[in-house]
Amino acid sequence: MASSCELSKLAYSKIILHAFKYPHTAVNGVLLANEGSSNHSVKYVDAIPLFHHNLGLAPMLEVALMQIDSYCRTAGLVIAGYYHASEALAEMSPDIVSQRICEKIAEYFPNACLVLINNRQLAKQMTNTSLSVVQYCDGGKWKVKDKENFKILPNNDTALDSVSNLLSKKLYKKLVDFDDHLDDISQDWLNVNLKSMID
Amino acid sequence: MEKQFKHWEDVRDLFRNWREENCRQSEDVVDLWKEVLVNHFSKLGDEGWLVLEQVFIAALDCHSMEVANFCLSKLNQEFPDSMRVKRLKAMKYEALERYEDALDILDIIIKKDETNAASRKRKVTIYKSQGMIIEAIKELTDYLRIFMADQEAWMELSDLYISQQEWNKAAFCVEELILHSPFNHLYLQRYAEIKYTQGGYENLEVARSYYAQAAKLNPNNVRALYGLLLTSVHMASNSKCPSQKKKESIKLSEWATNQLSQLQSSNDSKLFSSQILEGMGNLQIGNDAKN
Repeated sequence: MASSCELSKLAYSKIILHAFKYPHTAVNGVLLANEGSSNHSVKYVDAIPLFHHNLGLAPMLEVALMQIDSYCRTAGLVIAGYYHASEALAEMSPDIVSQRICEKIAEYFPNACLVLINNRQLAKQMTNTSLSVVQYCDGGKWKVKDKENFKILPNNDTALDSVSNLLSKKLYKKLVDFDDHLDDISQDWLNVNLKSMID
Repeated sequence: MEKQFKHWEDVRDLFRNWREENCRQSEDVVDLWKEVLVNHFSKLGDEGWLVLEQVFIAALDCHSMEVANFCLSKLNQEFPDSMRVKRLKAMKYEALERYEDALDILDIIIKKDETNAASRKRKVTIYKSQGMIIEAIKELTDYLRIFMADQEAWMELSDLYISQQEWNKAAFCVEELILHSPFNHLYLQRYAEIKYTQGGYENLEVARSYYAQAAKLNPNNVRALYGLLLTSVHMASNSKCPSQKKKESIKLSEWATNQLSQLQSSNDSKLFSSQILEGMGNLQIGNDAKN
């Protein structure tokens, strides 16, 4: 059972930027960790934003996961988690689609985490991480992770300042998710250009 | 919007464009209104009322209540008894999460005018905002019994059913859309996606046909091409597939791969995606794979 869960500044920024880019729809994406990560302390080093339309449909999800998996193998990474922001403001529990996807991820990376965005806590000036994490445990149960066991690197305050800065520059307009790539195949879902702006 | 000072006429034309295409560019609308158009409002003439409505809705989207209230009061002044303005007031209550007040206004409008379609649809969104999807579905199905030709509504209903994993009902809604517009490649692609997600060999076959038709109608539809590739590969590696169809599937998957490669290269992209296409095309077709 993983006891702690960390999110790199890059992964956290991408998650928040994705939610800000499409505030009126649900968004989701996967979280990547280094290959060979232990289950005792998972560190998510990157996030790949996936969709903002019809999150419940399978075909494009399969295509995306195949491509991401392929990328992971070249980069020494592994799909180890999933994030989701609901369409409705007040929705705070993972819906059935998120659970299914995360269960699938957990088949390959046990104890995968499902990161949920708390829509109400999002703001242009971020004061709260606005995330809650549930972890998939053996036996199909979801366990809520306490705030002490979950943190953003290098530390919460720095990350929040950094993200608020990105938001003020409206950098979310430059984020590309897999849906954007499918609409225009020249767009880069790896967001290589954005990475340098975030770091 | 990178340009600092757009000429007010350009902004007016841009807004007109966005109105016609039903674009949701709320942040930009509010910013441009505040920076440019608000100072030239009197020059807009009758179009000004449409612009006010557009800015009002955009302001609600961005929760700029000051701007929203300004627009609403101007509209109220000019059209005091208008049902359309009343509906905007209901939207304001929706934005403030005062759902009961919003529903009250909408019910009054519907009572006065039973043919008012837009107000009925707002009721659906109120249920949806509160996460009451079952009620939203019921309200929308009642609406569609009366307004059967409303394609936007059928699409929304399909989305609601997808979120509830009711694949047959979602497919039915898209079938209605395909009946309306049989050459719309997006509807065909959506139908294929639902069928594929439903699962099972028969649905896989159906999905492949619809993806193929969508790709035929628009060879630039990337989702249709990927879908065609995916379904063909799955079919060809499925034991239930007769050899005739296997050969067909292999040909289709090759065609789809070629189309995708062409699209990648026409964009001169050195993206990761172009490399892995080879990988997908090389999936073991001869052997019965895991599916």
